[in-house]
Amino acid sequence: MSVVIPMEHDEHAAVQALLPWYARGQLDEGEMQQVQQHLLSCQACRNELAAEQPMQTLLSVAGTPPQGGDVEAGLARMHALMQPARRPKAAAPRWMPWALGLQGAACALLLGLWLHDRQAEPAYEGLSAAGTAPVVADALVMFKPGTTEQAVRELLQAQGAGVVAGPTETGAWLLRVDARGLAELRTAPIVALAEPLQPGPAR
Amino acid sequence: MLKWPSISRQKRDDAKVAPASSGRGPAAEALELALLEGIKRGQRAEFDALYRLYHPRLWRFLSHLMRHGEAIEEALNDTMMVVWQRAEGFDGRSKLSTWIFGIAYRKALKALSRQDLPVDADEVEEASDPGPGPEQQLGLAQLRGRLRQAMAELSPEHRAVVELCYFHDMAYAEIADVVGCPAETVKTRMFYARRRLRLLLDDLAGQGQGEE
Repeated sequence: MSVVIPMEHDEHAAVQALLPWYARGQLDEGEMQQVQQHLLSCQACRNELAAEQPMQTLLSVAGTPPQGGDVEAGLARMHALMQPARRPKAAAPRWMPWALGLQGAACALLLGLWLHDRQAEPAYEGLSAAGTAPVVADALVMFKPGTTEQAVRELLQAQGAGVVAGPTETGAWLLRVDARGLAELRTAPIVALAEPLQPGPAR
Repeated sequence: MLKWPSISRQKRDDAKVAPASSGRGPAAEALELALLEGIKRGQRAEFDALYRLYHPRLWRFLSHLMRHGEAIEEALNDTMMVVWQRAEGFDGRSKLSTWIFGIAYRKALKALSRQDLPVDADEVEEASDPGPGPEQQLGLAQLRGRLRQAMAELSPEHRAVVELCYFHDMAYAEIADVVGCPAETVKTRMFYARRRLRLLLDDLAGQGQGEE
């Protein structure tokens, strides 16, 4: 039944195949004329056309399922499948790539200036630090927007890190932290960036 | 001339009820598209409204392809889940209804292939013997049984063409879009399906004449 046979060479069959749509006025002009021309000379096809209304009646009356589905029950089950509610993808503002780029450039500039100044000038010594070793930062860290002070404090305490300077205008912090702590900082969910400042392996 | 069998006047009046899709004009289509825009933004109220609009139509369509209520609902909800999750996939080159029915058709065929049950044998058996009573009066249940039996002899692909044409008022080109085949294939399927239904009509008409 699924074999497609060409019907264009059998006008009788071709017209009969079109009758349901002819009866509904859903054929284009050429097909309408083709069917009309054939009907004028073909009693069998006129009989087939006459059967269209009973066919529609039969399908409308007896083809309707005795029981329709329960719309609200189906919708409730649908809602259960849809949990959690789909959130539309928030489109990033057009300025976002530029802002990120500028932020990165500012970080690089800040880092370069800081390294340059550190090499050019004697190490800063506070009054309380007189006679002690200078405090040198090991890493530059940026936290993700919205991170609370408490979360930062807890993370730094956990990793034995101390703040040397910061925050800078770009939100970067200079930290004193060992290699293991820096590695942990890099994997912390609240950290956006954690880069070593000392050449070679961190202390 | 073919004579319609003796179903009651009430049933004939019922039959005059227009197909579900015949009342759907440009305004209804515009509403559906507006709802789809809301769905693209993740708005559930718009989805619920579209679900309620399409549930009766999809239920009827699917019930001719698969008869178990649970399977019908599963295919229906699978279809609407695609609408919810991939509303952006509708490119507007066809009617929204064509897109949704196409999804439903593929979901139904996939479910049927999983079940390996082209038709529900139990229901066909039930319908195989309408058992006309002494009055030779065809009750609606018997009429349904006869039609179901005739439809069961057709493949799901043929039943889909009949259903989409006679109830959902789709032109053959639109049906071709729904079922994903050439228009000539749709015509061929209609030719064979209609020939089978014509036999049933003749049979029913013969019974109707026999009653007089």
